[in-house]
Amino acid sequence: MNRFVVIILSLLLSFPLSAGVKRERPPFDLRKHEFALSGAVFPGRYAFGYDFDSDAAGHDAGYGSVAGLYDDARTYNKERVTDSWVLSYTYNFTDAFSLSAGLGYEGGWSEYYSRADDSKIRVAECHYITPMVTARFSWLNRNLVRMYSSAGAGVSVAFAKAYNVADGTGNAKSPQAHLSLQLTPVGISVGRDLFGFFEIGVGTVYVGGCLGIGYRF
Amino acid sequence: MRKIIYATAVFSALLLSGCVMYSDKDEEENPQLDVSDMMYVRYVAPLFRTAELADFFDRYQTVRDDREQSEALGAGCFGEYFISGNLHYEEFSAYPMWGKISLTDTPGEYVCIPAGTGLWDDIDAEYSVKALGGRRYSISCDASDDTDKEWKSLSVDAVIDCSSAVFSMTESLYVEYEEDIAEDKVTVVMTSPGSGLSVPLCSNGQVSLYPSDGVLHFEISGDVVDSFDAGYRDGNPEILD
Repeated sequence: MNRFVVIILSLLLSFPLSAGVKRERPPFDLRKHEFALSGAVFPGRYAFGYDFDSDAAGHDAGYGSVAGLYDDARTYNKERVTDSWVLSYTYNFTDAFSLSAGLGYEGGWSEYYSRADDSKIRVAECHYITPMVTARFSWLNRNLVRMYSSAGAGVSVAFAKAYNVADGTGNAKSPQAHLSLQLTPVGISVGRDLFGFFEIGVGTVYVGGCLGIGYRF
Repeated sequence: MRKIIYATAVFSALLLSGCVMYSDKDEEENPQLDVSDMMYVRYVAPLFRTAELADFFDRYQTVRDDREQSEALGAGCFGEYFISGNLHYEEFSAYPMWGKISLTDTPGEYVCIPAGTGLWDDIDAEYSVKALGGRRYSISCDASDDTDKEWKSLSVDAVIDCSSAVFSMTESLYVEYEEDIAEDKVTVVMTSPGSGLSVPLCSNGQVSLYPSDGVLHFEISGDVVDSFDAGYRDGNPEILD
């Protein structure tokens, strides 16, 4: 028992000593400029259910008709996306606050193939270009690690078209603008000049996780 | 540094390869089953609901001066879905499964608008019902989604027998549906050969959607051509060989 008390006392007494010799953290070295490229597997527009733009997809008998049900049975559908990409420039005003200007892209193809011979019959595709401004708030600043949250707003411009593979006939839709928002509750960057980062967010740019690399100077 | 470059290259390659987010390549397709189900639910099942409404409303006319007996009759058919406030001399309605039935100027003839009509497509079908006596009912309909009948139309002629008081059975059934959608013009004719379709009559609000027995024949023509039989046993539909 006595030995236990001695250990606790010695720990308490040693605390001020160890605090006294604690090494000073070097000051945060704020770099004003950042360029970054990021990618996310689950694009936001796709996650929120765009249907490759039904107007551009043209006439479709649909599932609610007899012809549509037979047509659907003759074909199978495959949807591909490009993932979501953002190229951005960030200006760090202070340790805590930054503004970014980014250009995002996501695209997708909805392809119909013949079940008889796997030949491609029809394609509908849609591409989104998204300029966006993002405010970033850094709440942990170390020279090697930064953690932050951010919110962005912008405009997505959609380009959609659909065509038959055999003869190329189809239709294109004139570009459409949509509001685009992205919220990132948590992001972490690791590195000094060259850094990698990972973000968790939800919005029309991506949903889920996003990985990227960047360079700050 | 080399590790970072390597990781970046792998990550970029993964992302650049793109992702297949959806594919129904491995799904089994059975358009006959899909078509038979869609056609049955939309255009055949309402005939049995209409027969149930008519069977009640026609019997109600003989006892309508006795409110207590009338309500007991209604509750016996429609159970919790029977609302006495919806029971009038001229009309009766029971939702969400049956619809509304009204008297016409001719005794023994009614007009019925089944619940859900126009819900799945734009055909607002109004069925004419004629009581043939002995709890047998002639049901007919000629409707389309527009006056020119260019897009969808429905023509029905059926006789349904409820005399067993347990089942409603088709004595005859002819349903013709036409669609002209996305440049595909298709006509579907449904008939019930042999002993017809047999559906348990609603009782205390219990409804059977599918027949307990019978065969529904499909003849499809136009831009789609097919012919097949859908068989029903204990409420389970299947395509017969």
